[in-house]
Amino acid sequence: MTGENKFFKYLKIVIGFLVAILFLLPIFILLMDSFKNQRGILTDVLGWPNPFIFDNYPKAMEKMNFFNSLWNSVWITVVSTALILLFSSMAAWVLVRYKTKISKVMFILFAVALLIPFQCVMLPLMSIMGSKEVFSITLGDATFALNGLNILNPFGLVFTYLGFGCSMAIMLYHGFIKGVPEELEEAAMIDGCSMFKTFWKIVFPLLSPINTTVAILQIMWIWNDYLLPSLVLKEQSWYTLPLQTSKFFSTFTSSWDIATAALILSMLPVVIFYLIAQKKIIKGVVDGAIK
Amino acid sequence: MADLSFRNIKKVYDGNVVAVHDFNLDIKDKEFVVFVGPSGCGKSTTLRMVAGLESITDGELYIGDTLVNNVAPKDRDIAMVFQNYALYPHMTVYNNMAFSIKLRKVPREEIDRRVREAAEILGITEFLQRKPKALSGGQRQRVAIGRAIVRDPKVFLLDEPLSNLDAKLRAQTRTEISKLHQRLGTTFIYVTHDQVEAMTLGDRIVIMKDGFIQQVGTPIEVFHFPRNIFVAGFIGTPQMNFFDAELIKDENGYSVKLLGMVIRLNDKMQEVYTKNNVKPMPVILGVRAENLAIVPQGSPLSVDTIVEVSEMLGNEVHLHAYIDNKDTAIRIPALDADAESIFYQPGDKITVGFNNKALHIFDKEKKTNLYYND
Repeated sequence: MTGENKFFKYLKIVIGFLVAILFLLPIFILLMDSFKNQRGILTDVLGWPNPFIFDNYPKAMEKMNFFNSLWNSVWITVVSTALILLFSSMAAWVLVRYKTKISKVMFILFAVALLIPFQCVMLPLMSIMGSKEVFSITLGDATFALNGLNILNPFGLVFTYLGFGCSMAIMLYHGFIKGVPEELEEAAMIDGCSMFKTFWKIVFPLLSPINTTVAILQIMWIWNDYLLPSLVLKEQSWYTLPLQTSKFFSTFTSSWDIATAALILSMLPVVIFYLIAQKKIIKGVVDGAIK
Repeated sequence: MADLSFRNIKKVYDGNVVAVHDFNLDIKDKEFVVFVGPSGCGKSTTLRMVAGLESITDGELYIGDTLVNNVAPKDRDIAMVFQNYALYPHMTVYNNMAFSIKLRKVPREEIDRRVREAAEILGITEFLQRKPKALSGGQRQRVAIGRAIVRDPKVFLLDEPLSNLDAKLRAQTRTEISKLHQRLGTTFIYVTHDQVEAMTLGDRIVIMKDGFIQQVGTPIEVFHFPRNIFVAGFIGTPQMNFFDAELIKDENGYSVKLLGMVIRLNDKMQEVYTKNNVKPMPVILGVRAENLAIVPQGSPLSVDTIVEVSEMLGNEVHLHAYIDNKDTAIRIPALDADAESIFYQPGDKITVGFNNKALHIFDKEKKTNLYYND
């Protein structure tokens, strides 16, 4: 190895370290602060905990009803992601393979839907999901009224995530499926597969790299989402982890000590999941990038 | 029984692009038929219509006695080998081969027996637990063929199966496909753009161009009696040489006049032309490279020219020279009678001799062979 090459090799390592520190430092500060009391945090945010307090964690778990909200977060994230993967992959496959005018228009609609900010559709969406009358029309003596779907609950939230998540997922799947040789599906049809079997037995297994990519993006979004659950979930017992952590911040006071512990607790499941599935996730992302 | 019958088959794509026009053909049980032609001639489309992967716009297609126009691919009892193999990448070789019969709920022991038997025939037993990406191109092609064998179909469809293989492997696999046909005794339809594959494999060859059948015949028929200029030019390497000439008739019978030479047609042609009452006319004379010879200067029926290119192929030499301002190929053996190398260099003067043994004469206007009474 020449001197210049060695220099660049070490430079890359140093830059890598600096970037890692940049990303990990806030988490480290958060972790340290979660072992301090309120006074300790306000007087010395960056310092080592003195005294070292563990009480924040049990308090946070109790106040945020941790296991209940963890369960809510987990099942809402898992079910929503699974449904997004399922419906988006099937929809994208049909849009790629059946080139009709309708399929082209639908694809454009999905692409355009990506550009609409959530805030624009937030209010009409809530009125449609609520139980009140959305609109009414009077023709002569008769009045026709359309009421909301009355789905302001976790199932409604999952349904909404499916709607909001599928646009981007379909775009990602669409690009990937275009690279899957059509002959494989033709061979499957000749071998005896119906359309449904062709998808399940041949196409879907080939999508695993992009499945991983889509799943990561959706999980990150749904797990951390605050706005949509705050609008849809009315009852405390339905709250997800981000909603529960918001309890510790109010207009006049913030319980930083318990809040930091709560934030660490809500982060923990995803970090553990990542550490377990690390190899598979990285392989999926890399394969997706190559494709 | 797996006779196939194409009756006035037509394929029109969106935008009124006609891919196949009025295709009529009967394929006998156990026959090996090759569809050959240049890109875009409709050969693959026709094969895909047999497979059920393309809808038939018009006409009727029978497999056995069944009209299959609207029968799903899986119910046609066919198997297809694709150009790019189309092996399922996430399955092992064993599962690739077993997939179709698993779907048909064949008992497990029977599946195992059939897969192992096919693997034995093709010499891929040791790869059964591998995934396709761990195989070479030739091995993948064997698996693709194996997958078709396991099905035990009525008709085998092969869509340019050797195109992705290197020249040596292609020749080897070609021989194996021929042996396989003899062994299985099933109807084979094979699509290729390579006329060597067509000639060596097919019991009959269907030559296509622009969606039309140009000629259907045995390899010998299409080589020695091409119906038109296209077939004459397409079949045979190097390509047949064509010259503008004139067909004349006098008291000695028919002759063809080329560059001042008068070549009397052979007796067989005289007989056919007389029977067909062919009129004297401007014609295109076709002569294959192997029917031209290097002769001593001044020989009768010969033309002097200069070698432009000399291609040594080991057992023979292809010379290119201009005759009547046309690039003309001459195929000569690489060794003379004394086993001395025959060697020509560009710029060498040669004399090319014609004879009347293998002349092909085409109507200049209709481009059809005057041998046929079309």
